Amino acid sequence: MGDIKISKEKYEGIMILAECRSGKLEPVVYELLGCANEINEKLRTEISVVLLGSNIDKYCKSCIHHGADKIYKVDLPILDQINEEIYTELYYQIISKYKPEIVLIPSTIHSKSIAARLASRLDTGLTADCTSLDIDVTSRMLLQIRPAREGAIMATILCPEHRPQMATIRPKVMKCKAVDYSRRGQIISPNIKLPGNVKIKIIDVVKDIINQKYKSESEIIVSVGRGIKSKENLSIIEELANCLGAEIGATRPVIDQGWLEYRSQIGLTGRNVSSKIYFAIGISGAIQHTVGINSVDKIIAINNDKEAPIFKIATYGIVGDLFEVVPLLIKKIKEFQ
Amino acid sequence: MNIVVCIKQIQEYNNVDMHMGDKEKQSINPVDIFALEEALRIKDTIESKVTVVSMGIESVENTIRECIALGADEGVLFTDNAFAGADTLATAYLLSRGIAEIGKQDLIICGTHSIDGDTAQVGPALAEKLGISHTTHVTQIVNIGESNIICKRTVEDGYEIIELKLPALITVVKGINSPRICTIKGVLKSTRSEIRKYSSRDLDVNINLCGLKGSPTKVKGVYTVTHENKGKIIEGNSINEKLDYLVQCLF
Repeated sequence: MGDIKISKEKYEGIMILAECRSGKLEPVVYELLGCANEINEKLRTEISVVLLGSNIDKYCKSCIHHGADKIYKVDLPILDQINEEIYTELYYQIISKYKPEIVLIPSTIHSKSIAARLASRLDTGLTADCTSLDIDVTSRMLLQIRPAREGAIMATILCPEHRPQMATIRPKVMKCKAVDYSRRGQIISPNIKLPGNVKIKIIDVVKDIINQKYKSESEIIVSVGRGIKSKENLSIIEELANCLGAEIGATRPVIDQGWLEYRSQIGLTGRNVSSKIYFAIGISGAIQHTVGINSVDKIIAINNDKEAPIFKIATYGIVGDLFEVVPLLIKKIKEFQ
Repeated sequence: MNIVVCIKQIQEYNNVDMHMGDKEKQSINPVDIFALEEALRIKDTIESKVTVVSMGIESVENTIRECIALGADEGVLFTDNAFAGADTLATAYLLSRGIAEIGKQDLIICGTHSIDGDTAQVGPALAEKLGISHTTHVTQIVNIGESNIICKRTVEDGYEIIELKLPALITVVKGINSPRICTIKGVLKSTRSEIRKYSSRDLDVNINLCGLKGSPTKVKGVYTVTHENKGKIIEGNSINEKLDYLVQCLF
């Protein structure tokens, strides 16, 4: 605190903080590039990506092809794992030097923690989990839109005076731009100083093999809400998922009850999915769930309340008691197969 | 060990109803109960003092008392009109000044996020303001040593084991433990306890960095979401018929 305040006019450009895990660039980075390019139609500025990691050279070109003008690359063995303290320090140095007016960050467990630390260190504003972004052309301000009050309303948030304006965005919310292999860009290796006396150490990183299937894109998801009423009743959902080769998802109330693990949670504070088919069983369709299924192809809703909001967005809706409908559906699918 | 647990009082809105301004009851942010329990478990094994802190309106005192009934040693409330309307940065700033005021801490435990704000930002931002080590989404405290703490932390595709130098701040997930219920002794203690209250005059704070004034983010506007009705409810005389139609469409 007490730093000389640099006029916000001196801040220019959109900067994206890329996330690389286990040496692989997370696809959300391309989605953020798509989003940045869209708002850039109004802003008309430079789009850069900060790439920290080890052996991440190959991603420089692909980021440029997906819409970046500049890549700030720091490729060091020590960055192989995401030590958030080290990453925060390097991002802080780069942002302080290059002064972007907007910084976009993926909303993942690592990156959103880093985002919060950065915003705190930079004494600037950060809006979490934006579902869309826009630019107010007269003021050049970033309009950050996200659900509020557990999804009952949408709020437009501004960061009028402080810079950079920072926002985190979840995977599968934004769309990638079409790849342009002829695009050219600049790759820069900025001068950075690694922090001494790092206070956290990663002792081990363990990949959960059992849950790997949740990571990959499922074609079909069978999702369950409060209507299932108890953990025991989940057996019919499991059976339906099995006969379809589907992944199981759930709304927050189900996860809160401990009937399924957090990994299965779909929605505002869970995952976003983009499967071909999505069964919403015993799910009312409150906004904080439905923001997670915006990119799904076909939604099939089963609910005994014909006024349930889910029916407004479902491709096909069946009004009925799920305890009657689901077993019958399972029977018919098995007959069909 | 000196442990601080940060809690938040929230209002639960009836989200299916979608009427704005429908106030439901005030209650403690659910995951904060797990944060408190984690502190109490440490206290069960290592000699510790657990202080519950919160930034909020006067009535948050009651919620802090509930925490003392569960086993916390002391409660502190930072309350002042000047603190109102704070975004996550202003909140983290105020909490950092408040915690500095109450004394040196070894460990600060927060919940990952609140169910109203939902940003998961205050924990990390607070750690930054205090200049201490931290990590988020802790599912287990593996070990506490003289000068460090080892935590298991969940990530999207597995977990990490992180060692942090003390003092440290951790945010813990819902379900990290099974919270205890209060004892009669605890309730009696809570009714007799004095909850210290600090206003802006009692703390070494820059008022311009607190509350709405100190919040870099501002809400420009809100609107309710309406969905166009683009769905199709399958008609039919029986479930059987409707399902036949559905299966036909899908496969």
